[in-house]
Amino acid sequence: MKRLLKLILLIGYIAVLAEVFLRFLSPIPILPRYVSTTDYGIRGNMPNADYQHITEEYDINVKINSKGVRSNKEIEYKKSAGIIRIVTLGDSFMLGYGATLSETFLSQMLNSMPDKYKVEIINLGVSGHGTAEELLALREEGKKYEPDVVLLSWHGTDYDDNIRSGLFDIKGGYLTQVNNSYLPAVKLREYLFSFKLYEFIATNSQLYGWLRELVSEVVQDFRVELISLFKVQQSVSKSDKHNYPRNKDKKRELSIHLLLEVKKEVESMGAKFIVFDIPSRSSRTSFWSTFPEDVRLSEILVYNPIKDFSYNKKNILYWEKSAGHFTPIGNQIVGKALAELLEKKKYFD
Amino acid sequence: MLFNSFEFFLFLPIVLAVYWLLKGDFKKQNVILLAASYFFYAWWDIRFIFLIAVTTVVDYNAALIIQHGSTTFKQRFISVMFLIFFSVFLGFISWKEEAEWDVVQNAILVTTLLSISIYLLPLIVAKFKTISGAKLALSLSIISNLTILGYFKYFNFFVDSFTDASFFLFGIEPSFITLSIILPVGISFYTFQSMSYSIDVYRGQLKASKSLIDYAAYLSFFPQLVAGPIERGKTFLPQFQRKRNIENGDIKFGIWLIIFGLFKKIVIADNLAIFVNTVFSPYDNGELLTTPENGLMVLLAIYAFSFQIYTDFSGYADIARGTAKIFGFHLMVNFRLPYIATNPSDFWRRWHISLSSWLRDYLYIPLGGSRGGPFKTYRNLLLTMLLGGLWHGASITFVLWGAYQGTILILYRLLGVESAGEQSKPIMKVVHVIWMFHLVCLGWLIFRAQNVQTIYLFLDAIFTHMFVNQAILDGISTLEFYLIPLFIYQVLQVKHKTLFPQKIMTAIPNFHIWFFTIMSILALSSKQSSEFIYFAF
Repeated sequence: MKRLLKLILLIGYIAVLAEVFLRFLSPIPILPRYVSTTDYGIRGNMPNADYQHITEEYDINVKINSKGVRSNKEIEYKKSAGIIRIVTLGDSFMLGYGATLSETFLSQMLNSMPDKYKVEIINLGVSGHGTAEELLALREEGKKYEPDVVLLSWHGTDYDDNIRSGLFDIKGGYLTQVNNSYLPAVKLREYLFSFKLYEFIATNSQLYGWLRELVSEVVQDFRVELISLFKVQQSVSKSDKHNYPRNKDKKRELSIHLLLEVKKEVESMGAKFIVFDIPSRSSRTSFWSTFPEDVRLSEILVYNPIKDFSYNKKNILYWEKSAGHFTPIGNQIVGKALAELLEKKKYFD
Repeated sequence: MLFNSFEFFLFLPIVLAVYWLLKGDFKKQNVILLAASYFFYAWWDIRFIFLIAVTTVVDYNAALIIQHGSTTFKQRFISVMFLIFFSVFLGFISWKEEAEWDVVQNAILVTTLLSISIYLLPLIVAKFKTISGAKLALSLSIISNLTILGYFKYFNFFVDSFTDASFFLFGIEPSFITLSIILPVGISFYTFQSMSYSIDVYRGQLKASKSLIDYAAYLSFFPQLVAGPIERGKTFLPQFQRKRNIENGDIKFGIWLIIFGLFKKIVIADNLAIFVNTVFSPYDNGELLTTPENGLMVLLAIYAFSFQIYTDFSGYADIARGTAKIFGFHLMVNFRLPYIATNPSDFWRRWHISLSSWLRDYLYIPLGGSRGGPFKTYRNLLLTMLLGGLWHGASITFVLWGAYQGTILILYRLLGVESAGEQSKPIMKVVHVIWMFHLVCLGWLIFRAQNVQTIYLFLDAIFTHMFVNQAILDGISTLEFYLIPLFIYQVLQVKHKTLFPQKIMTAIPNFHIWFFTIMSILALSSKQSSEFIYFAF
């Protein structure tokens, strides 16, 4: 009994010490993820969620409507006459982490469009989504909105996300859905959030936020590495094989297939497709693209803001202490450039 | 395979579990270590395990011939089988990967020639007197090691340098072929280790290993295979020839070394690298020819690099020592607080000790050391340091760095202050330490710069326009943030006169040091992990 008490005290002391360590030496952004189960087996934004994201750099409110779309109004599936609809798919960048609703690049894009177009945006971005989940979100939810344009954001983490979700695999050279559901710890989170104490800790403790990220990162990395090592079939051409490290081959090939499938799906809806390639960065001024270079993807319209970002090197374009999403300036540059590109490519005509 | 990679954290417990299961049978443990080491190396590039096999067989046979004048039939047979096994393995891999066959052809050629040599050499040596035969075997060992090293590391450098020199001196540009040669990771470390083994056997300081497995396991021991320390046969090989006792203290200390090494690498070195690269990288390709805006930023980046390279390399050495410890092996200490050195000789007794002592014992002293008067001493110092610089890589900046190190060693001797600061009062000692640190930093500028004009431009910036702005203050706080914990720990090391001060501390401070280090690794490690710098050498 005495030993048990000692152990509990020790764990408590370590927890306090860790909280102090993090608050002083490595402040953790508190970015609770309000996601829940959708009818189609993957994660979606929790309907009607209303929460704060607090970091050293910002304090932002996020509102989700009843259909899981980041918006302060309800949007009907049925499109009104004369309206051009853009359905957007992506991860936390697309959802607009780090930006108020009016600051997101989607709002900036809308503001930069000529008045002659009546455009409506349906943001289906969900933090943590990769192309595999985005494909299902488009099929099951995005389609209902009768999109004219589908904008998908690509991020370097998608390679891993697509493998990790285990939703699709390549069999005999074809993309095949091998699982109907991917809900990493969503049910557990929903259950835990029903306790007030838990919700308090989740939204206030830096140690909690850090542990959650750490555990999920370790579990995710472990899963990706294991799947890459043992499960995903090799469908890479022999000549390609020597150009890439073993695991990257599999991740890359699956992602290419998924992107092509999204394109096919968009075309079947009679809509136009554009990809926003979110640059990765090694410093405030050094960016690179992670979008897979492949002849099969060459027909897709891809917007990459590296050139625009390079012109604006003196500005801080990504938050530096808060999970690295776009700052308002970064959002503004992207939004304006996207609007110009869509106009130039006559996507609304 | 990197120490800070996912694969390594799967690999290590598996190897360790099998190794511990076989305790009591060190021969079988050596087989496991050999297989694990080759697997570890093959993870980087499977083809080059053949190269280690060649080096192993050459020096194994050379040492036996040096000592006994011949090899037994069994030893020759096992050597040839060892080579054939790896040739066949290479062929299998090439076939499976549908790679070019010229690598396999070369491997078959090398195997054939080496197998013939293994059988012929003892016959040839038998015709000589004992001493001459030993000399011949030693020469062949050294020539083969230097040929491998020269081909893979320096071939293109020498061809380019010769072409440039011809053009500069005579206006002629000879058309030589440069080859797309991949530098096998760790080649400089294991060839030096292997060479020192043959030399030590020749000098009678070590008995040649009768077992190829023991020798191969010694040469390829994975914790130190790719970035040292360069272990000497006389201290390290015997550890493969006897039962290893692993005590609780060893395991605790081993785990601490691994954790502390990881802290140095992924918390300090990788985070400092981000800062260093923002200043150096724009100049790396040699196209930017303008002086940096702020010399103070350059100076900060050089300070940061001096700690980046130290924590990167000594972090690797700590992980290597820690990993070896939990297998029951004792590797040498490669760094002893180098930045508290008071003079250049002191620095080289503290920095990359396994290389500096190698150069001293196998180059400087055989050249005559300090025995032939001042001029010869200076010549020997300069030559040794030049080759030490070149050991790091085929680049003019490494040669310049070696020349610089040789020059400051000579200057201290010329001024009669070669032991400066060692016996001084504490205040003067601090002055010497700070001065020496700056001399070392100037060396690191030469070392880090990818071309000569960067050195000039950075020095120009330092001496002409330095000013304080917000970026400088941010840079200073970055350095402070990552270096203060290291500084505190090193003060404890100096105060307690041990590299493991926790062993004489009470439980409470001990617990907090472990907590802080582990927590830092988990929470402060850089998201941009990079290879260990010395993997490139």
